[in-house]
Amino acid sequence: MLLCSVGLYAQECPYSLSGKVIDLHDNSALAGAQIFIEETSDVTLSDEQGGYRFVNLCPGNYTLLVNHPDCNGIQISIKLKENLEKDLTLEHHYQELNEVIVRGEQGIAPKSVGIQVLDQEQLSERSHETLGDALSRLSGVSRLQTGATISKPIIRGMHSSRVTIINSGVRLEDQEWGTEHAPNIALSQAQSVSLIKNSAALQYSGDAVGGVIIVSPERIAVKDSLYGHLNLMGQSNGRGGYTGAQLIRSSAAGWYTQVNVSKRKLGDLQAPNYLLSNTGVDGYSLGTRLGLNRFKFGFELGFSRLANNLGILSASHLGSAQDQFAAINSSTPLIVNPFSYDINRPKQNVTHDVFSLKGFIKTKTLGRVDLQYDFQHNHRLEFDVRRGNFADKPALDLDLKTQSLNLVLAPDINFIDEFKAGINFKFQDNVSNPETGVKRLIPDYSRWDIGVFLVGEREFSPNLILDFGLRGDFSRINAFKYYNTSLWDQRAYGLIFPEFFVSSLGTQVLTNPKFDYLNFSWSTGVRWQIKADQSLLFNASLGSRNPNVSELFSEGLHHSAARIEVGELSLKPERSLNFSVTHELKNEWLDLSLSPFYKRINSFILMEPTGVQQTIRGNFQVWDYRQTNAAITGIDLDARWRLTDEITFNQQFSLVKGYERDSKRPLINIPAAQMNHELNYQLTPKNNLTVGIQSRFTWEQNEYPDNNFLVYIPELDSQELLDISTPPEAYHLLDVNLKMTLSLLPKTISYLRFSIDNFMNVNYRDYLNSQRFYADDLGRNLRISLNTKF
Amino acid sequence: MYFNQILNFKTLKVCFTLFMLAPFVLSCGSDDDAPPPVINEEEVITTVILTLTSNNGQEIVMTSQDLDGDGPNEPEITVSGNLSVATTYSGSVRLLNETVTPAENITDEVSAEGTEHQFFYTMGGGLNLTASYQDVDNNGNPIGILFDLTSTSASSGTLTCTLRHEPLKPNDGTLSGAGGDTDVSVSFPVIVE
Repeated sequence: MLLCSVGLYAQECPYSLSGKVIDLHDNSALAGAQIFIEETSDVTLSDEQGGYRFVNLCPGNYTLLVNHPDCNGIQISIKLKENLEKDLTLEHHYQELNEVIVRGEQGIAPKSVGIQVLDQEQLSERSHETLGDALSRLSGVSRLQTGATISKPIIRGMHSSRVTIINSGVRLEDQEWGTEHAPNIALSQAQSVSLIKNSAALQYSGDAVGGVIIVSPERIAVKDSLYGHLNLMGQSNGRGGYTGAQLIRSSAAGWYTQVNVSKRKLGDLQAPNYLLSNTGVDGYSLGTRLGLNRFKFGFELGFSRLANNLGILSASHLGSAQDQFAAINSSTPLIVNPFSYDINRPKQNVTHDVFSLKGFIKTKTLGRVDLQYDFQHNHRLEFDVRRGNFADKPALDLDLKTQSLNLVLAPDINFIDEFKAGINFKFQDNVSNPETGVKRLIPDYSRWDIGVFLVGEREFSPNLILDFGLRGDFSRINAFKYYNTSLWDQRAYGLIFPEFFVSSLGTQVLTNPKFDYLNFSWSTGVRWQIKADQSLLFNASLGSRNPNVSELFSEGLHHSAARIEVGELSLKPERSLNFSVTHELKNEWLDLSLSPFYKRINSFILMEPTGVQQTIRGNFQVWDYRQTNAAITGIDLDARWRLTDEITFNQQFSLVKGYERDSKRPLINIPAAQMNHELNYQLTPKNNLTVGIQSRFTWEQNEYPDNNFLVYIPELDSQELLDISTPPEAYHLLDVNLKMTLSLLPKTISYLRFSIDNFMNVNYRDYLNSQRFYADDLGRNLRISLNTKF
Repeated sequence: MYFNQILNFKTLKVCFTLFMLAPFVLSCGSDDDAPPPVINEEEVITTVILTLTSNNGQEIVMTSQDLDGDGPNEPEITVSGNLSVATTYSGSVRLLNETVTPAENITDEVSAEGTEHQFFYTMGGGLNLTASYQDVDNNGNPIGILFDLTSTSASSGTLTCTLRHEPLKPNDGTLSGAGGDTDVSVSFPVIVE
């Protein structure tokens, strides 16, 4: 009414807005939901059938705020041209896995800085991919690769030990310090993947200075149902494919069970001009869980296994720096064999098992109490090209067992909303099998961790919400390490750490390093809803990361890098102060997010060459660890345009710069700037037949440290420069796809998708792919996939 | 219904207490373990010995010894004497692992896997020597454990002995043409007088 009386010209206001308010999980009506139109201040409540109605509305744009005592509120923009029927869905405060994801009808409405999500629809298109590949679709995330089949996420320039991955509530412990160790996650079992950069991250760890990735399984509603999905994918590059299936049975009494299986197989991959010999993959995953959800209490038992056999490019296996010189200066890989599915040496063989037992009770005084016990077993074998009796033995055999016990309380506190407090215990044991006959890359060790945290929010007004978190972590590590006597003496460890010395065995010394760490972390964020469609999110946090076992204890030749890596016992924890601001705009036709960030890291641990060592094999560069004060800064931009009902256009841009603060020397392996565009056009609404084209442009990284060195080449009888620093040129890739929705069988829905990745068969190399020294990246790949939900 | 009777709060409280104790029970045995056994690498090559014998009984031995493997100590290189001009020497190479006692002879393994190995002898710095192979593997390609070195005029320079693992065989006799992994690359200072 108000709008009409101040209108610039007389308008008729006869229109009505009505519909139902529905619970997202079981489609039941929600009575007593309050619906408020901002522009007119009209309010109404939904009735017993969930129905609501506004009358005498003028045409125009309106913002609806919908609230219900048991649910999280949502905000919706609508355009009213005539009488409109609009149903509104709310989600019950569905707390599972100590995490809340808020969904508005238009997608995700994060409460504080950047909870970016890959939702179920996006994941089902990507369940054949690795976690690193799937996450690289989000702005600010790139990949650290060892060939195309091994990748791990880099979040704003940080990866490996600086990123924490939580899978179904269990923190992934799988030798993540290794740049060639991909995270052991089967996306086939995931319903959503979230990237958390706000205070909620402190529930999981204090050392995730890069970020926390949360992989969540399917949320199962409390009702009788039997459903699942079957995914099939075949691809031309590698002549292989993937298949995955999931089945869920639930009952109205609260029982549920889920079973997952998946299998992936690829032969040698293909670059535009040659085959990448020995890059095949053979892996499978299994998972099952059984639980009871009675709202007031519940429990869940889960087990999963992921096993992978991964070939490493034959041409990347080197004996010495001379070999690396020959490889880098050759325009094609030095070893190219005919296509094969065989996975020969060098290769990785990893098995990861997780067992978890969770339970929760809703109590009056302590709110919801969650208790979780989990056990993880990671067994990693790496096979090298060896001689004699050792030809078939692995060169690396690491057995890592981790147990953790987590308790989280969520009491109702007067002045703090969403308050949670908790304690995490962890015990970890690593054994390096001596049967390999190769000196242990990582020593035997055991480790205790205790973490205590509290997180919460305070709503000052609907437009101003503050979130905060505090955490303390104590960590104790106890290792038995054999050092080369020559190195122990060279570093004067006998003088600096005399208490670690146990005994001398001639060429080796036995030592028992023990370290205790006590760290504190905090985080705070503010969300300011400036206008209905604009918000500003600000987050500041301090994280601490202890040096990992590779940074402390490495000692030896890293074959595929043709260099000797040596850890440093005196490393101290990193302290990282992070700031980020996100400006978000969400209206009917555009979702825009602009997010600059700045990280100030003291005692940043980096590895760099410090000299050249002569050995019987020839020269090797020696890489040591050093701590410095660093800064990483950059900006991420995301725009999603809904140009018409048929056309959507997405853009992404990310830029990261990393330097040592004092010397301004660039940090190594900082991702180059990247810009992606995606245009989708719906040809016909029938079957939702949509054609899409994607453009990915990666700039050349022009800021990098110079780690080049001279190596003696006997044939040339001279010292030649080995260039391992210069990043490759910029490159541009185009992907095209066609997808449609079908119903092949009654009561099922299928998504059929044809895609051609690297449509132009462009020849390129990526700075962050360690294979770039030896071979080009993937050529054209034709893929067909069918995802069926039943 | 039977399950409902069991699943009340009391039972759950008991269960939770048990769960809290579980990891302590499970991990109790893992502390205070004896240290793990030492690993003495059997594949490491610490010593390369080239023995050259001329037909008039002159013997020259060249040794490169690096007892700490990839460790910081550099290889120790010794050359027992100078070569004579216009002489052919029959040579042999021996690879040892001297971290164990008695020292292990790696040359035997190389010989047993002859088709997957090849030694290369490269001259540098103007050294006037030519090498030729005097042995073959099961496919008739050279291995290089036995070789001849023929000197021409007085000169000095370096003789580099390289062992390649899984090179391309047959190959053109050059290091770049053969490829493979370098297992040994030692350079000796040599004088021909």
